[in-house]
Amino acid sequence: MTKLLDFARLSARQLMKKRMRVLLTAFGIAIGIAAVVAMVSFGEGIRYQAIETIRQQSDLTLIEVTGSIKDGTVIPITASKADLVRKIPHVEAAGPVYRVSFSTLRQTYIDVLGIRAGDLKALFRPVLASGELFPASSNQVLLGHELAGKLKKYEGIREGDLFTVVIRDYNEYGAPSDRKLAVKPGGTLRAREDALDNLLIMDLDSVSALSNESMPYNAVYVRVDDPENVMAVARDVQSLGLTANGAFRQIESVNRFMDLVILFLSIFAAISLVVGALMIVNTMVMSVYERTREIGVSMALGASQGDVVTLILAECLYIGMIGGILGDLLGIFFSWVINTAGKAYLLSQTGNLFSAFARYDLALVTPGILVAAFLVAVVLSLVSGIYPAFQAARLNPVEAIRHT
Amino acid sequence: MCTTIEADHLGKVYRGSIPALGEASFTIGKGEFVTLIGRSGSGKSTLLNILGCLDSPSSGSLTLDGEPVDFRDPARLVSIRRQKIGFIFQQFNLLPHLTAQENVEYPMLFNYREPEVRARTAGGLLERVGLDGRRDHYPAELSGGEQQRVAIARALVSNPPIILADEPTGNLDQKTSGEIFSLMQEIGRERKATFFIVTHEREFGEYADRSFRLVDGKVTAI
Repeated sequence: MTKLLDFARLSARQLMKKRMRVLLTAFGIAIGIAAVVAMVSFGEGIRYQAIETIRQQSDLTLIEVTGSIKDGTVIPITASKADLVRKIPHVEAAGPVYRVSFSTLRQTYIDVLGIRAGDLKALFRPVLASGELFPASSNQVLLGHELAGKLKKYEGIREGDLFTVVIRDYNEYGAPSDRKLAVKPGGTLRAREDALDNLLIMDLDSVSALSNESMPYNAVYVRVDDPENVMAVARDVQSLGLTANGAFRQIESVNRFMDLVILFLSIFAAISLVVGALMIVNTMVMSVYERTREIGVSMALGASQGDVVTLILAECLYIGMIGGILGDLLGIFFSWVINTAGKAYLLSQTGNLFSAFARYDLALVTPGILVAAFLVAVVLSLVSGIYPAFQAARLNPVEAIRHT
Repeated sequence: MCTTIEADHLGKVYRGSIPALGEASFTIGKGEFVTLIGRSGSGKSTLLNILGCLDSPSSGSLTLDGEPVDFRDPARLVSIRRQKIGFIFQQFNLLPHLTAQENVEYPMLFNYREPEVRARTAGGLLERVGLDGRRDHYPAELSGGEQQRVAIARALVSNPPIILADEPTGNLDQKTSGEIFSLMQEIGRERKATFFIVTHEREFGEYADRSFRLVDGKVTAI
């Protein structure tokens, strides 16, 4: 350790001799690092905006669990599977549902959700515009906001009116047969801006009773306690052989897409890093050439090849550290430029199309990006120093001492 | 007297055919002050480089401080250079960005000595060579004679039994050259270190316990 510290001090002294050269070389790396920082921050900014938009427009902690097909076999959601889903850690509430469809006598198509009233409350936190939820095993139903409007407008059906719906079944030959059922809207949901707005909601057992034979659930809705735990719950659902869907899948897609975008942005930015690395190689090769005699003398005085390599690499380490710090600072500056001038320009050019950008920064510089960029600068400098370092270590001390 | 350097038919041929050193055989005892005189191109530096384990002989063998030198083992050669040999060069070869004190400490960096030990040893040696007040001076701020004194202190810092000097007064005036030879002679006696000094100036043979001459690659006693 003492030796390394001594070598570090010695290398620092060497660099101090050629301050301007070192600074210019470090600046070469810094520009590359700054480009990477700015590009990755830009990508992260876009990712953040996209995910925030999804978060605001979707219910992240709601997962829809459906059956799946595995090796050609359908895995249905049975009552026992639904119980297993309910027992998954971090599941706050879970309720099975049926999805069927009715039509009115005047052929208005109605999507129906069969769910227990308690599950509806726990999972969807419904707010009633009027009336009440439906009692168990009854023909009373709850209407989504838009459906209520549609029925009123086209069918003249109001809350409390008993009306007839047609349930169409198909026999084994595919021939349809219709049954009729009288239902009574007992309440209407307040507008939610989600799928419930267009649904007719009724008790799970009432829907189940419409069929002669017991049928598996169409889905189980799951409420997770925290958005952070959604992925873990989804994995547990998948391990039961079922499928998990929800807004979190959109975030996954955005993340996959943005990973790719950021990778490509980084690759283009990294081209300038290659130039920076070549500058280091050039500087260090020149430095080794200028110090040939000094290296030869050091070897005569007891320096091993490893010592020479360490001394040269220590100098590269310093250049990398200076380049990394400068690059991070420049990258922060570039990101600031993107967030001020760039954002203003984009908004002026696109108008309302990208109005969401107005709320957030375009480029998002995180400590992680800065630390990673710094490490890239250091590693790149060390790698760039390998050739000059070994070139120095391979010098013949006799010839090196004679070098003028 | 113990033998410190034992050269047995040391020869060096460059690029397969150019002879640089004939079959040099000699022994030098512990604490001896020896000069090797020869014209330029006679093979003096080649012999010195082989004795300093910087170059390998084409033939013959070498024993330093009782240890047969295996020239095929680079790690061992480094170790011998660190522990058994001190170098003094004609051009002084001090590192320009280090002070006199730091230049003397420099070889100890490779021997992994603690900073306090380095400072104490180097300070003592600078005092011994008469440069106590010049510790913080850079080589460019020192005269040629002073620089060579620093180089002598640097050669002694690891307390090696053998000091090899290649034309140590080649860049100095007559008076300073005499002072440097006197200093090396005194230090050699004090520390019982073997000094092997290559020079082309015969007059400095008077300082030596023994002098050799190198003519056409052959070593002969004067």
